[in-house]
Amino acid sequence: MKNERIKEMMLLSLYGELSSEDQKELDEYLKKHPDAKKEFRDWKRFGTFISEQTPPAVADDLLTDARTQLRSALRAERNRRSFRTRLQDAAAGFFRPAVAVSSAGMLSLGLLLGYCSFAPSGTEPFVVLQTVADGPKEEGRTTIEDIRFIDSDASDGEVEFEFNAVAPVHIKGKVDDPEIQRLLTHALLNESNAGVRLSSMQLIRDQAADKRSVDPAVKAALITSLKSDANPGVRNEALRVLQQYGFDDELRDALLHVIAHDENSGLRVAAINALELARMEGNRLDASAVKALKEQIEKEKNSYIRNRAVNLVKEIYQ
Amino acid sequence: MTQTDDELIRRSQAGDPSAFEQLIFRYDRNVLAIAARFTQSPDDAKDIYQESLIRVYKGLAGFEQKSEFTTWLYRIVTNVCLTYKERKRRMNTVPLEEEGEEAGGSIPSGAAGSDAALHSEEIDRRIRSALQELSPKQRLVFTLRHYQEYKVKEIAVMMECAEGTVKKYLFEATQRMRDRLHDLYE
Repeated sequence: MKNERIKEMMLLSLYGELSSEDQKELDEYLKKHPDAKKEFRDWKRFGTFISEQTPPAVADDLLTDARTQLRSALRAERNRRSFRTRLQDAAAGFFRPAVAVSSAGMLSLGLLLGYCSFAPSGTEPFVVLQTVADGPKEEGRTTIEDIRFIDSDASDGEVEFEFNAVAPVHIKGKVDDPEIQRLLTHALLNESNAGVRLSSMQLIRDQAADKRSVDPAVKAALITSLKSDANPGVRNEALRVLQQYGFDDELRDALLHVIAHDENSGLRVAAINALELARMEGNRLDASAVKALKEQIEKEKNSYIRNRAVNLVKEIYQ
Repeated sequence: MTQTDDELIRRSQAGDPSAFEQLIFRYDRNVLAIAARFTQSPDDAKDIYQESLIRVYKGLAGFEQKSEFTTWLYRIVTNVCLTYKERKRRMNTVPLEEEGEEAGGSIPSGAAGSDAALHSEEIDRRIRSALQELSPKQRLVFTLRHYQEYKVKEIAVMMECAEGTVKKYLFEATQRMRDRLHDLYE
């Protein structure tokens, strides 16, 4: 028992987690037990050795890669979640008014069961729901399609299934309306179609041309897109829009990130151009920017970009 | 102005995706570091990173802030780490042990070429190899204590077990690492 306690104390002492009282007790014990003292010395040598072997930090490239993949996964997850919400909305609409709930529901389930049991596969959607228009949003017809049964055994009185409920939503409003901006930002981060992301970006850009102020959430979304959108066209557009908001530390850091990590050489050149333009407009590029550029000069394989970076560093020093 | 975790959590729970990103990007480097040290493989580390953060995303709606966000986050990460190997095996892929040292070798390391660098690489290879011989729980505890510098108490909270259990794993891990690497520090 005592031996176990001493071992535990040695371990905690090695990791600096032994209380001073227990440390005293351990020291006393070790004085009286040379074998244990020898053993503990070996533990400490191991501790020193292992603490000297600092593992390499997580490479920025690995983190960037992981974040890009995570964004795709989150986008898919949001789409799934959004589908579930639409399904619930559609179901809520479907089961109104309350008086007709049970009979209509049972009838629909019966129809569904019968349809899925006997209808040929690959047919067109067969249920169409009409939702109510609400203010400036005009919702189209909700279609239910791709019904998938999870439990089609109705012997216990219950069935379980899922289906895609798709409802087009038409929204009209001013581009600087906060709700419109929120939707555009959402599209920027979550829309799987790069063309839609690009269109959202262009709408934000048009608004940026009118006034040089930006909602922080929109700007954060633009920076996120610049750093990690899978499509270089979208990343390039993000850079252009951000430039319209003016140069600041956030944009500088994002540009340096692009120069260091973007696989597309055109984007890296565009980022250097943006830094150069910012400098010419009187913005100061500090030592951290110079350091990042110098690091990039060391590892940049594209000679044109390397030369541009070298020239930019020279200009900063002038 | 920088927002607190609590504010970002509330915004995330209200469905703001940029708030969720801001929140997790405060900690995700550490999540990836834990996963990378634990698996010794960048690809596996990215899998663990992604699965952990997707779980966080899914669970955030029900997160009531009774504990620190980071405690909850790392609890998820440790769970995913500990179950990863089993799930990977079930998916009929190559078990981690059989990936051998090649997998570990793909973790970025220092510049090669000089004798010192080669020696350093050899030491790193030996440490990674010794780590792979530990049981998942021993490896996780050793990684969290030694590389991430969490205290025994904190690791116990993350792993949802008693401090004594963590000490046991740490003791066994340290003992085995000592035995395997004895010739390097004698």
